[in-house]
Amino acid sequence: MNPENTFERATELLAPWARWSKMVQPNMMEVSVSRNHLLQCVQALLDAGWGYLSAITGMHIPGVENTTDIEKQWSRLSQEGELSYRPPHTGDSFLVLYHFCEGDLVLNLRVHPPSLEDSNVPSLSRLIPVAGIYERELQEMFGVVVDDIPDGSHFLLPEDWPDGVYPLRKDFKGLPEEV
Amino acid sequence: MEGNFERTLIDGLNTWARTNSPWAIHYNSGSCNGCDIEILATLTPRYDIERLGIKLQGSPRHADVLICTGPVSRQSRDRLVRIYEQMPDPKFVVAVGSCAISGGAFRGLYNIMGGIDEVIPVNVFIPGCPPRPEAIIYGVVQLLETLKK
Amino acid sequence: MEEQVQAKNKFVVPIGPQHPALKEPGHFEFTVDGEIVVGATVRLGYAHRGIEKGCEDRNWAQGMYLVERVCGICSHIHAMTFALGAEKLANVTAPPRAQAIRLLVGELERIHSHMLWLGVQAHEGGFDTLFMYTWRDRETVMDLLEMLTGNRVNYSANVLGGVKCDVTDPIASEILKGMDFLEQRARYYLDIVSTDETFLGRTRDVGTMTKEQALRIGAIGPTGRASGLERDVRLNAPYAGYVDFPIKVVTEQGGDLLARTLVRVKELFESIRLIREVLDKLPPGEISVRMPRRVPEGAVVSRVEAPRGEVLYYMKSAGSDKPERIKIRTPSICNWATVMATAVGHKLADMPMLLAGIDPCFSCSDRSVKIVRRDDEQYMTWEALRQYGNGFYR
Repeated sequence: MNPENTFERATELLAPWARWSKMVQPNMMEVSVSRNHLLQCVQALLDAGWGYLSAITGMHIPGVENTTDIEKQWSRLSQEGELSYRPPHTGDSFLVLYHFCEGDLVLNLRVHPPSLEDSNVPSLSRLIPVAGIYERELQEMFGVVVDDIPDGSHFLLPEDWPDGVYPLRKDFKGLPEEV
Repeated sequence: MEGNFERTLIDGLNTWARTNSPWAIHYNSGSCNGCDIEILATLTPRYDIERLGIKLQGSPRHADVLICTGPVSRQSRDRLVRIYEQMPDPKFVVAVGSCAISGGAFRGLYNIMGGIDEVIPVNVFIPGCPPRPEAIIYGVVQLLETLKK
Repeated sequence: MEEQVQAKNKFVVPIGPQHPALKEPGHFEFTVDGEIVVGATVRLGYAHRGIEKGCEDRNWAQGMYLVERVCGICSHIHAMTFALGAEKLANVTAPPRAQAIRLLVGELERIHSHMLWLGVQAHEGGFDTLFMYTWRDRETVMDLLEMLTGNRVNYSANVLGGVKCDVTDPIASEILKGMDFLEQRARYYLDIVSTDETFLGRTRDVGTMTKEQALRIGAIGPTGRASGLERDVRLNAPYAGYVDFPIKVVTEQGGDLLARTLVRVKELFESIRLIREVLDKLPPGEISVRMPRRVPEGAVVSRVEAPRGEVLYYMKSAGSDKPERIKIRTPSICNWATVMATAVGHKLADMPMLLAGIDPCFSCSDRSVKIVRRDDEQYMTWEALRQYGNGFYR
C-alpha cells in the first residue's frame, strides 16, 4: 500500500483516455474509458504501481422499448455525462467493470461496448496473467467476446451446456426442460 | 440341501463382515464444503467413526457405502453415476445434508439437478445444514441396522 | 482425451474429481516427464451452482443466507461481506457491538479454518498424527462457535443491520478459556512445523514464489503474505470491528510451502490476541438496527479478508428489494494461478501438498473458474502408451 496512490494520482494517470469519472462511493471512483484505450490505461496503472486488478465484473443492461423509457435513460445518461460520446442505447448492452484496489480505494475502469452483437473487449491477460480467469468467466456467463484471450474454452459450465445460452444475462430464466 | 446350508452360512458371514467393517467412499457433487468438513470431523479423534469399523476409502471399487454431500450439479452428475457404477454390489448410498436430500438452499439454481436421489438410489438421508457429526454417525448406524435384517 | 500425436516421453496424469488425497471435486491434469511435472491444468466447475444468478432472484435478506453457503468453511466471511455491502448501500451502520462480534466470529472462524488447513496439509504430507492432533484441538473452537452462534458450520451470525447473537459473560469466559488452550497448542504446532525434519523435507523450498512473482501473478491472502507481500484487507481497508481493533500483519519472506505454513500458524496467535482484546473491550449497546426492505439505488464494492485472502463483492442495487447484480470474487481463484505457475519442475508426489498449500476452496472457486495453461506438450493416450511400452520392451 502506497500512501501516494490517491484518486488524484489515478485521475492524472488516466487523464489522456478518461471520458468522465465520478465518485460512486467515498472510496470508489468510476472512470469511463473506451475499449480501444483499455490496455493503455491498465499499462499506465501498472507502470505507476497503482493498485492491483482485483476482479472483473460483467453486467447486462436491458434495453428500453418505448419512448418514455428512452427519455428516462437519456436523462440518466446525461447526468452521468455519458451522452457526450454516444447516443442512448435502446438495445441491450453489456457493462464491464475492472476493479483495481489500492488500500481502501477502489478504482473501476468502466468499459461499455455499444451492443450485444458488438461486445468485444480486449484481453488483459498479457499484462496481468490472472485476468485471463476473470475474462473467461465474463465470456461464459455473458457472451462478451474477449479478443486475444489465450484460452477461451468452456471452463465453468458443464460440457453439455448449450451454445449461446448465457446464464447471467437478465433474460435467462433457466434451461429448457429437455437438457 | 447341503448347498443351501452353505449358501446360508456364506450369506450370514457376508452380512456379518459387511455390517462390522463397511468401507465408505466420499464424493462431493457440488456441496458448499460444510458437510464435507463435518464428515471429516467424524473421522477425527472426538467422534472417531473408525471405532465402528467404518473406514474412508479412496477407490470406489473397494467401497460398500457411498457418502454423498451436496446437490448434484450438472457437471458432476456423470461422475456421480460413474462412481456409483464402479462400486461392487451390494452397494449403499448415504446422502448427507439438506442439499443432498432436495437441493436445499440451491434448489432451482440453473446448474443444480436436485438431490442425490434424482440420479442414484439412496438408502439413508441425513438432514441438517450441515448435519452434526453425531447425526452422521447415527445415520450410518441406521444403515447398518437395516443391513443386519 | 482425444487421439494425439505421441512423440516425447511425456504423459498426462489425470487426478480427480474423485481422488483419495482430495476431499473436494476438482480435476487436474499434470503433464509429467518421468517424475517431474512440466505442465499443469485444472478443470473446475464440479461444484458450480450458479449463486450469482440465484441472488438476483432472492431479496436482500434471503440472498445473505444463500451467499453464506458459497463456502461452508468461510461462511461467516461471505455473509459478513454481503451484509456490510448492503448496509453501506442502505446507509445503515451496524452498532459498534455488532461490529465487534462480527470480528470475533470472523477470527474464531479464521482459527478453525487455519487449523483445518494445517491438518489437511499434514495429511497430504503423510503426517497423519499432526492431522489428528489439529482436528482434535479444532473441536475446541467448533464448540465455542456453536456456543456463540448455535451452529457448528453455517453460523448465520449476521443479519442485515447487525448480528443476532450476543456475547454474554459466561460465553466470554468460555472463549477465553478456549483461547488459552489453543494458544498452548498453537505453540506446539509452531514447534512441530519448524523443527520436524520430515515435514521440513516436504515443505522447504517446495513451490517457492518470489515477491515479484507473487505480485505479478496476483497472489493474495496467506499465500501472498508468505512471499513477503503485505496485503491484508483487515489492515489496508479496515471493516467491521477492525477499525477499532487493528491487527498486525504476519508476513514471511521464504515464499515456499514452509513459509505458507508458518504464516498460517503465526496468524493463529494474532487471532487469539485479537479475540482476547475484543472480549476485554467489547463495546456495550445494541447488536442490531433496523434495515429497510428496499435498498436504495447504488453500487458498492465490499471487501473482507477471509482466511484464504481477499473476498470481493460488487453489489449493485436498482432500488428494489432484490439486488440487481452480485458479483462474488473469492480468494481461491486468484491463488490457483500461483499453483499452476509453481508446479512446474517439481515431483508429481509434491503436487497434493502444493495444491493444498494455497488452502484451495473448490466450492468458492467453482462459482466460476478454470485455468488452463496449454503449452505445446504432446499427449499420449493410454492406448498409445501401451503400444509404445510394448514396442519398447520387445
